[in-house]
Amino acid sequence: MPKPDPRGRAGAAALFILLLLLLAAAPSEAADTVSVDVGAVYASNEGTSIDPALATIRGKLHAMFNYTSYRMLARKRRSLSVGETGEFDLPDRRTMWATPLPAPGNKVRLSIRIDEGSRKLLTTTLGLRRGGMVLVGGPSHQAGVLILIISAE
Amino acid sequence: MNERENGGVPDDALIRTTLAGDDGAFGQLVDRYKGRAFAVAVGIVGDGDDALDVVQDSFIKAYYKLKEFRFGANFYTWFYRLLVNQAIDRWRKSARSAEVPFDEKWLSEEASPPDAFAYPRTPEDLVRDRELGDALQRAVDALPAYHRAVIVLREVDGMAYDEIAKVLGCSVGTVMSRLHYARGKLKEALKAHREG
Amino acid sequence: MTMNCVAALERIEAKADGLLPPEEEAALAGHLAVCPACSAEEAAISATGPLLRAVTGIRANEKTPAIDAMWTRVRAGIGEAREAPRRPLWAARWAWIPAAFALAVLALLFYPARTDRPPFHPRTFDVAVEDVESDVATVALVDKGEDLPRVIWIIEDAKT
Repeated sequence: MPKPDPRGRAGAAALFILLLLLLAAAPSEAADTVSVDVGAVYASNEGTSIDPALATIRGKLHAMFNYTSYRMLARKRRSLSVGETGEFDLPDRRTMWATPLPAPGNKVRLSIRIDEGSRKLLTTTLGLRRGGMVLVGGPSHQAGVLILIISAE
Repeated sequence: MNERENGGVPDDALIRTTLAGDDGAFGQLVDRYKGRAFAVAVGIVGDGDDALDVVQDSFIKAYYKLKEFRFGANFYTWFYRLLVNQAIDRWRKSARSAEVPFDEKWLSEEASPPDAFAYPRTPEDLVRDRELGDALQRAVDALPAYHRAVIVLREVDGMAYDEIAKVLGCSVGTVMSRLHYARGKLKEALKAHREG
Repeated sequence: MTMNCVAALERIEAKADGLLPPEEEAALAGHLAVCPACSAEEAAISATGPLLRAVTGIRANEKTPAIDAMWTRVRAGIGEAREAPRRPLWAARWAWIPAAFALAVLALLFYPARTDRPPFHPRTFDVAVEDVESDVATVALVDKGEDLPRVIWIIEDAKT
């Protein structure tokens, strides 16, 4: 390990300041970007297992629905600027698009559309807070239904 | 309970190892106490699935609060405090959610409540096969939250009065009076069942 | 030592908790042998513990697989962020230089969309539905209280 010396310390300080500048310039979750997290869950009455990835919200799912089994099929997260549309592929030829809309403070407004092929299943505009969660469900999947867990940060 | 159980690593050592970054050590703590934790949780919340959630949430909370644990103290007493509070909160929310009616104003006019949704549990849903156990559990459910906690900690977990006092943050005298009240209520329930 | 009913009733719970001194326990036993009322009281108090444990035991047996898998559930619920292990001071003083270079490289990279994510930890379920529309389905909005997520439920036409 090198011994410390004054010139080395000045160089280290300059490097540190450079790092801070680099980090400031790097992509980050600024106030005008929204991180949209979508989990696609297969809910059914086949079996009684719950995906460990859903353990933290198991009680909520159990309180809301009568299904006995929940399995996470996919999960994607996109950082989107206001006005930027992110596409999320869903099971069974379905697609979801999410577009953050202008919103004040720590609120988030999302325009969401879900299509199944050419069929427009759902179009909705939601207002929620950062850290908020909403569920969209009902489309059939195998022996049960699909439930989308949509979170925004 | 900070001692080795059946020759295992002491709780303090497992906590230190966890704080050093080895989550597997915390897993050993979970495995060591999950059975007893479930017994206490199910005694307080009355439902197995709710109890599982309470135990899971309590261990997760304990994991994040582990750096606040004072070495030399009893881990199980410290953990139990989290567990009992979680269980009581959960029970209170269940009782409240059983009273909240389905919010029909949110329905669109054409739709009716889908069959997929769970309706609030009634007390009848909590009845089990064994009638005597049912009578007893109903009596336990009817107890105020902290009286229920006391009787469960004492009778199910075998905790001493002073340990219960530490878990609940009250005096030994309060523990004894709550226990006396709870036992009296359970005794009345058993008597009513036998005569009924 | 003899005991009357008042004294006996005061001591029954202490006996159930194993807290009676031996001579008092003996005196209590003597009283219970000749007093049916106090004996019934003692039997009732003594029965609650074993019965409560039996009821709890039944519930535990029903959930044995889930209890056995508790660490799997807990581990899934624990987030990835936790405190870094403490390092000796001499290593900390100089290790930041190569670490700083590594950080600079990372800072210059584009953050890709990741599919592995920590478990869900919603902070609020407060959601306003400003508008909702479907060409092929009926949509129901379900709200069961502020502690539960709001649900937009799509009921496809000709399906349940």
